[in-house]
Amino acid sequence: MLSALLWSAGVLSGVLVALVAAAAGRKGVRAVLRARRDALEALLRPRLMALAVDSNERVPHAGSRRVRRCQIRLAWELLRRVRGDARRPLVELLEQLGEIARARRRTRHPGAVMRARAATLLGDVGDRAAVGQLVRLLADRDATARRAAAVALGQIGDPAAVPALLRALAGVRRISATVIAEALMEIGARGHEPLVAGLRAGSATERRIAATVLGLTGAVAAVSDLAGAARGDPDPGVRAGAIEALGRIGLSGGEHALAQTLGSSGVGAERAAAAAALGRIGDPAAIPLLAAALDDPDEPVARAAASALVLLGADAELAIRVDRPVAVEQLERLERAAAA
Amino acid sequence: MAALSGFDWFVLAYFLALNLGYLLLFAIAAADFARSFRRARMAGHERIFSSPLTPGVTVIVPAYNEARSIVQSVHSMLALHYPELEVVVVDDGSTDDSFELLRAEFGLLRSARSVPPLLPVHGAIESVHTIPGDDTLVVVRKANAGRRSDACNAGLNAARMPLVCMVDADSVLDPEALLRVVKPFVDDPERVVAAGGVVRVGNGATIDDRGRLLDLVMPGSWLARIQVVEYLRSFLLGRTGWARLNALMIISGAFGVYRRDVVLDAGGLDLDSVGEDCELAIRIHRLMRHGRRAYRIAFVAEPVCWTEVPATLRDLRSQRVRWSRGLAQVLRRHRAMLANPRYGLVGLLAMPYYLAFEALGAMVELVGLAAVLTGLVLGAVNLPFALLFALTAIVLGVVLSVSAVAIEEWSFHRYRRWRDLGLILAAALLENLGYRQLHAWWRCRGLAEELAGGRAGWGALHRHGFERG
Repeated sequence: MLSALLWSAGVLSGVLVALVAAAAGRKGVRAVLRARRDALEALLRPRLMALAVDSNERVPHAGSRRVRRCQIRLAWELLRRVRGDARRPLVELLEQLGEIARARRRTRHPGAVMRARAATLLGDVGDRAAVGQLVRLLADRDATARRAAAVALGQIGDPAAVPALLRALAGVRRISATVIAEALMEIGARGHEPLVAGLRAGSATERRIAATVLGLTGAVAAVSDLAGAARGDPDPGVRAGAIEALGRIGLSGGEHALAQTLGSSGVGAERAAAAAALGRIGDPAAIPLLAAALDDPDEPVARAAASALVLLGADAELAIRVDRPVAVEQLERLERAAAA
Repeated sequence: MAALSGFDWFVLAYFLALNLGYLLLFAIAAADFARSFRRARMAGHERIFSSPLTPGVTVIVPAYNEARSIVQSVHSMLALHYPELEVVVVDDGSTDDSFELLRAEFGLLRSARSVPPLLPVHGAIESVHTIPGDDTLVVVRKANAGRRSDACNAGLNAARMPLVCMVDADSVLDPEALLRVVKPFVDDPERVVAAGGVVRVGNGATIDDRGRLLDLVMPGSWLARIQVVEYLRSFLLGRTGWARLNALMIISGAFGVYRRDVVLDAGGLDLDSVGEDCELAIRIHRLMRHGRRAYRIAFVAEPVCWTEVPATLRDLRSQRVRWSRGLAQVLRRHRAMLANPRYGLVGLLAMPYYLAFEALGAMVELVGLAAVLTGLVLGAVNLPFALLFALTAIVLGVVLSVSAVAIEEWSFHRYRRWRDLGLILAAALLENLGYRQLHAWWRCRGLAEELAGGRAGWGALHRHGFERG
């Protein structure tokens, strides 16, 4: 018992000393490394910022690995902050330092973090040549790498990646719908054609995201497809997405579908979205339907209808409905805005 | 004598199991931190801010007699770096001039905005006030019903965003806190239903009027310093570990984000519970399991909520008795989940752990300590055994506390000064020499009060406020 006791005490004491040493050591090492890094960055940062402004500026040759790594880090950091012509000299510097080529190779690195960092860099520099490798990374076993690949494809903006991005919404290695939607938004109008194809023939999730992105990117040519989805799609999420998209686009062509949705006894979220969309489209023919929706038992629907009536300039319809709190709230808002 | 000796061995085994369980949670948490930090560059928080798809958040601030800090608190909430934000302050029948201060500061006017009765609220809604032309701040005045949960439910009724963040009126959030705690919802919108953020001791923090942390030092009192260690161990590391197992049972009332529709489906906060934050999290687990829905309750260690912890023994005792009572109440109410495979690791692991080591653990600790001392006096226990007991119960506890400090230093290193490192290590040692035993006594009182019945109160916490820079 006594020997076991002494042995245990010794082990625990050793562990305690090791933990204290680890904490103190980490603090000390971090302070030293930070001081060295700050000193080097203070020298290099102004040169790199000058390079971004004037591509004739020359950055000193990186003699040591430490200096080269600092240059890469700073160039990458600046690249994320600048726009337009200022990006080109930074991308060229990264090319010269071999970092872009390394990133392309590292998309196959055994380490997930390295693959994700590689994808991130390729997206930040807008490397179109890496699209194929990034599409492959959409099915990576690591979620961070998949996400980074999707973001990078959005930054690069090649519409050829749209079908792969939509497919990445499903399966065990699926990517967050929000991340995919944002990537598709960055690709923008160039991706409308494959998105419409996805709206017509994809899975429910693909159709929902396609509808959302078409709305957010103002796909005027897709209004009839969206109107069809708003009324006829079997999936409620797709219908809601299509309704919101019609409202965001704000052009006529979908009013009939929206009016049918608002007048139905369907899901409250869809009816609220339909009311909001009718307000944004601005067709006065919707006023009677919206006025009737003030009585909707679902408060968000009534509130959306009241907001839509304001957008349509139908204040009078609200003024006669002081029995409804949503109407009074909108009138109060109008009064305060007028007073301001 | 034999029984006493046998009991002593049981207590020894108990302490060993408790501390090893904690070490396992720490190991899980440390691995999670390491993984997160290596991926931080790819986290995409700046994209969350700029995306039109980022869900809006209503920050609900229940406030009762918070005149000292409510204006600064609301300013800091409004200054949070988040694209679509609404702040709903629920003035829960304050008898001081909390509302008047808000009205004067923000130019509030009475509004026709309705508060639909989606969740039960006992204190009647008296009025709603907004800033003219701006819906960002809403102040709901209601009659006091003696429970924070009543005010939170009123806030949930008034909220209009798909996510709700419930905070304490004296909480100070890092400006980026919402962006970080919302990230799980953005990354996994179908499964993530709630996310907790870490609460850390703000005594010793200097903040500006926008709630930004300007400086952080260890608090001046040893009681608060010990709580720094305690919060690191339990809140930061313990909860990260449990969340990794999708068995997180508590999202702190000081800082938690939920899907509003899920909270409404769950029935809101329990008006009779003093552990309403824990009770809501467990009820969400039940709701999801019963509905056979794939879900996750996340915990995000980086967004920080700074809170002022009790600096006097009286206030601390009141708080810890209430916490203990709340936990016992929740475990009793949801005892059907205990060891029930239907509830996954929550039922099979988390609830038995909390019952054995958190709810009943205080009793075992104190009785065990008394038994060992008695045994030593009576000769039923020899000195080597007593020393072994001390090693397991106390020294291992010190190792745990120092581990928490070391992990914090390696990961977040919020305390920059060498002096603070020295103080926090000293506090990690002191925590296990007297404070832990006193805390166990308070926890026993909480348990006894809950078993005896009667309505539990919140008590009043005397606050000094943060240093302003």
